[in-house]
Amino acid sequence: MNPGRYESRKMYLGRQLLLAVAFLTSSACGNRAPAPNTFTVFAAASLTPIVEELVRTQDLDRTARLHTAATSTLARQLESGAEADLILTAHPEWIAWLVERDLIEPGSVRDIASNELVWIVSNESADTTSFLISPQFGTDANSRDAGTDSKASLNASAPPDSAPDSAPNSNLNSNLNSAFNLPPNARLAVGDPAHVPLGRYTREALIALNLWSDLRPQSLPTLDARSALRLVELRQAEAGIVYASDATSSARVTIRARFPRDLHAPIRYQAAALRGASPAARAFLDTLSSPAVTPLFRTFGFLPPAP
Amino acid sequence: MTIALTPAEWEALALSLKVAACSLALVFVPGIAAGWFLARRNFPGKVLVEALVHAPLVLPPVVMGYALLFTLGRHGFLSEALFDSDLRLAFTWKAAALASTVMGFPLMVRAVRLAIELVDLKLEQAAATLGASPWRVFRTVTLPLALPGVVTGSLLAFARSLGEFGATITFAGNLPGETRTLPLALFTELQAPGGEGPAMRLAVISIVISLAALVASELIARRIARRLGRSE
Amino acid sequence: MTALEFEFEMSGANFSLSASAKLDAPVTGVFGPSGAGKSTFLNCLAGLARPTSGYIRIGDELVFDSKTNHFTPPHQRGVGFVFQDRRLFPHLNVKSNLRFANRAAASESKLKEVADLFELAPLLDRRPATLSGGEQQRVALARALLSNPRILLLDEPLVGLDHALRAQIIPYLKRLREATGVPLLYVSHDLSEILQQTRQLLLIESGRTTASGDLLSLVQSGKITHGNLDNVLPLKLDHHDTEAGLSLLATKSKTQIAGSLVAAEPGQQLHVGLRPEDIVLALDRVDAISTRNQLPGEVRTLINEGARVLALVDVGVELLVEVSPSAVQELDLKAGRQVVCLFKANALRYLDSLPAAK
Repeated sequence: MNPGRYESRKMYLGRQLLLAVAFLTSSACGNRAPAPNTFTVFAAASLTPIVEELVRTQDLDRTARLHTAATSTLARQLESGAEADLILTAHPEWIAWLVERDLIEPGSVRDIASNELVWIVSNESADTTSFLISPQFGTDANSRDAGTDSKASLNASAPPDSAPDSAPNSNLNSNLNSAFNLPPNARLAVGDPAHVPLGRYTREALIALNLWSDLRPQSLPTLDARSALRLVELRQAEAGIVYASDATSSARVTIRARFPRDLHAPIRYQAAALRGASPAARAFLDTLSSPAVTPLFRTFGFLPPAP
Repeated sequence: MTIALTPAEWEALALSLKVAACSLALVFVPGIAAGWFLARRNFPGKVLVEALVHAPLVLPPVVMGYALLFTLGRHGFLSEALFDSDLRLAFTWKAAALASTVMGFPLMVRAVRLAIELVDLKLEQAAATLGASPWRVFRTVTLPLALPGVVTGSLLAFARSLGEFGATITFAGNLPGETRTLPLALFTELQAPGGEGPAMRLAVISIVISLAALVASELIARRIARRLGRSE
Repeated sequence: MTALEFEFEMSGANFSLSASAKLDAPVTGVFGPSGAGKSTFLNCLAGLARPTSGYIRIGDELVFDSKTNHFTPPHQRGVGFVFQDRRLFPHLNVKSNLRFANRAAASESKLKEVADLFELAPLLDRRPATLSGGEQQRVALARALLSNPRILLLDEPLVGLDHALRAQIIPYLKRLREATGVPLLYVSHDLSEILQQTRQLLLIESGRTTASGDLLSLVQSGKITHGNLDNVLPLKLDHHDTEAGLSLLATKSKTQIAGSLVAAEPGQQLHVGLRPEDIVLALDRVDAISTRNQLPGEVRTLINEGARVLALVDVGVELLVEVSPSAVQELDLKAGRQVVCLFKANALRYLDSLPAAK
């Protein structure tokens, strides 16, 4: 069989399926018939709250259709023929992957935000359980070697000129010292370092702090950033390392410490136009990357893109 | 794509088989007991019990996972009541086995129940008049005659266990070597670019195991059918 | 000692049974039409069904009493039950089926003895599904016997068997009766079948036990209102007259009766059926007539059933003879009247042996 024909047939089938889904969705949503200048945004799940807010403030409710999932899922859907105008990703590797497949409009990729890692505990544990991570506890005589190690490595790996906009850096020292004194049975929710971007940043940061080998046995790798947060919310893990934006969105966890951003590769949220993106979509892309939205990103716990 | 499995794939495979075997062991006796009970006993509230037993069939697996977390998780109410919150079960391979057990239980119960309902009550009565106690009747008449259903139920529970995803990832997490069974490994592979190849290999492994289990149960069922003197 | 005594009621959604009797015969025939409640009755005795009220006593043991709420479960009752549908365990071979019943005794010799009694040795390794109906019934009988019952219930043991198979099974029933020595309840809707085993009857009709006692007393009191009455005579084969095509048999009192040729050896005991309507009464011997049998006797009693009258005639054995009310008048039949019973040789039905091949 002619591979090209097979390919086009596959695309055709995919399109039919998508149309069917779109039809079902639109009819299910009732009176929200799409206007002609409609465009579709595929957004990483972690960006959902802010993109929704943007759409609302930009008065794009009627034109922008938002589809959110894990970045990996979105990328694979696009490869399989899903039609969208913009993609917003949580990790540059998927943009590269899409570029490789020639799905991205050349030159349209841009950084829209950054993030930082934070150490969180559940509100309930923070209030009720004294043995859990608390700044005072960190000075305990029983504190493990790891504590002193971390201090040493932290000093060594944190040059004074790094991350001037990272406000929590000042109290980092005491916080981290105590924070990493995890009781032996406690679990630490982290992104899966083998597969999840959050996990990779976490591993890098903990390796830089010389804590990885100590904390790894107690770590509870999750399949995405949100699950790590949820495990702490549900008190299935005593502590977790998650994105600041996720921690900010949850009322059930308390941020105990913030990691310096130079301990790991920069966290980069990127946006790009897909081939054949509509003008309205391009305009929205410009909005996303303009300095005007920086305050909004901050409100949601994100940081401006690293320079 | 090579045939040889990587250590991580071996690990996932071995873990899947261990979890499935354990959950089968866990589901076996209670499944048969519940199947018998529903087939042979009438009691007020039976409909409710049936609904409860079959709930995992219709509820989203993730819901079952959360239900397990809320009962047997770190701060689950049973953990707090019975183990003083000292239960270290969630996010271990035992949790994966338990999650599979809960999901496979209704399949086992259903198959056993249908098989027992097909066993002629009159044979059980005959056994009783020959002096057999109810327990002996069950052991020597009911169970052997319902054996095809027990085999089917066991296979279904085993297969469910091999394929279980939602409840496992919720209650047991996705710990490599501990709770990352084949489907979780497959899903994990798809989270990173370039995971398609390994995912495909894992898919093939899953298919091979499932087919092997199906064929094995079919062969066993035939043997039993012959032993029961039934025509096939 | 009374073998079985009961008085109970059982009511279900669409049936009810009311039963009461004291039975002490070695063999009691339970006679009633299909649907009269015989199966329910047996289930209650065996403990497979629980009566609503009343009591059941087997031997000296009370196995059910609604007053004290006592109910002995079936496996502790010692009631042997040979089911109409046999109920052999399909997953066990014949030997295991027998052993199932004999687990407590666990003696191989007993098992072998019973297997020999019912000639099951060649069948021991076979599965029930591969056995003929008669073979299955023999296994069922042997199995019930091996369970060491205190009382044995036979539910329509010959139903579903053709005449040839019946003839095969009946001798085994006799062996069973002799081997157990326990009271036996023989249930059937066929009176002549029962009468081969016993003349002691318990009648069940429309969900109630109507009467119990000896056949003649039941006939005389008009209790047997259903089914074909039959004379079942235990006879001894004297000799064959192959030239005339007859077998000659004798009652205990040496009365000679001629029947068609039968496949049996002289000296053998046979059960023979003779229907009351097949017998003709005359006041004297009749010469020049084709009927082979002319037995003189005396009328003992007349049972008036309205449309028909039954005369009980003693010809050495007691025979029931059906006559019309007008014939009673014409012949002036009454107790003490001397009469002759005429019946054809082929009116004799061999119940437990086969007619000779022609």
